[in-house]
Amino acid sequence: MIQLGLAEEVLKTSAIWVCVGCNTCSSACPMAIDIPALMDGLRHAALEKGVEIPEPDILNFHREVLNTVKKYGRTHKLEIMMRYKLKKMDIFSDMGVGLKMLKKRKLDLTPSKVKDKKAIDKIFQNT
Amino acid sequence: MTRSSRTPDSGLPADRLNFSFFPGCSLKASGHENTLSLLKFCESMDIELIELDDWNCCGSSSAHSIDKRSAKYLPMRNLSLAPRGIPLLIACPSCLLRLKSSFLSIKADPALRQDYEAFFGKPFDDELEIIHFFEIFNRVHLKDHREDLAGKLKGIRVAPYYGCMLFMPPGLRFEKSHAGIIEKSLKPLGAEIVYFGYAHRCCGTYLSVAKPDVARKVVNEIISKAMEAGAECLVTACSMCHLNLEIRCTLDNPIPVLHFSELLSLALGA
Repeated sequence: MIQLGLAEEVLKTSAIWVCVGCNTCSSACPMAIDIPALMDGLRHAALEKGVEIPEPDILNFHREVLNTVKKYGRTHKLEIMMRYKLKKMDIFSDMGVGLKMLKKRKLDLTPSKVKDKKAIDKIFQNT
Repeated sequence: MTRSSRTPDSGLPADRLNFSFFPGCSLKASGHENTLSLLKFCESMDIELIELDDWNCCGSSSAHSIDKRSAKYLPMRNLSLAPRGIPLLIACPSCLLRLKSSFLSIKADPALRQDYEAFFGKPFDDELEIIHFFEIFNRVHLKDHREDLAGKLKGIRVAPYYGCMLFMPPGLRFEKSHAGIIEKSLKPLGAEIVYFGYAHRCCGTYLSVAKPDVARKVVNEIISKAMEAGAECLVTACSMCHLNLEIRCTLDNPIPVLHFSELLSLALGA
């Protein structure tokens, strides 16, 4: 599509956000094209150009993940989920799954943290 | 082509195996049973794991998706913390991919090496060996190590589930593949391997949050196909897959999902 001059349309597609980079396609590609890396590039371009993102939930999720990494140096699932849900104004859907995770001890209440906070700040200094 | 892991010598190593261990966020905070069983397994196999001091998140799927800077430096910092001379063992396929990609890029690109050395103030370790937990099974043969293990899993019908872990980006295509390692390790213990065609189907990973319907659909498909093929349990290689298979399954009576390390620890009586 980009070669056909439809770059803007590509940047507005859901596909670039729905791709999770499982590498199933790139492993099968006889030309060894790194398709997930291409998707990364397109996501960055979409954000830089400021086009409307058709999958705001996925973008929010990524932002909340990085937010906890910036704060603690590691991800903190409970905080990611709470903030993600608050932003979406949808606290109660998936509550059952959250409880199931707590019951199975898959949702820690307190974050695990990096001691050398300065090193993490240096990595995130521009954001 | 540079490689990040060497081919091990055949047979048992003379010395005790020891590794520096990168748990990653999933194992540290949500895959407790994975970490615990892994530690127990290594303990009973006399393998020493030393947790990488003050490790940080590898950047996961989010950094490379939306933030180039942290996607570059987060995995690099972990490389800079790794002690010299002992292999770095990682049990999460996704962390492994991030750290290995970072390592190989620095090795191949002098400008990136300079960047790394300036940022972390130390020379880059070209010799660092980064391996997945599965690599242990290429170095130690369970039955040789513990003779009493034969038949411990006799009669259990296991469906191995690798998710996307065996699929590699082109930059890592010459790295060692761990295809078949679950089968190879469990068969001598008496387990019956069930082939069900969905062993490499992606679990939906983080779409479980923003698109639960998508995750639910693939998870149900994976588990029901394993059940149709006669499996009594699914064995996973990744704690993200494990999480999705457990929390997103809406089938009536699903078979249990176990981490590979859990099943091994059960067999070892650890």
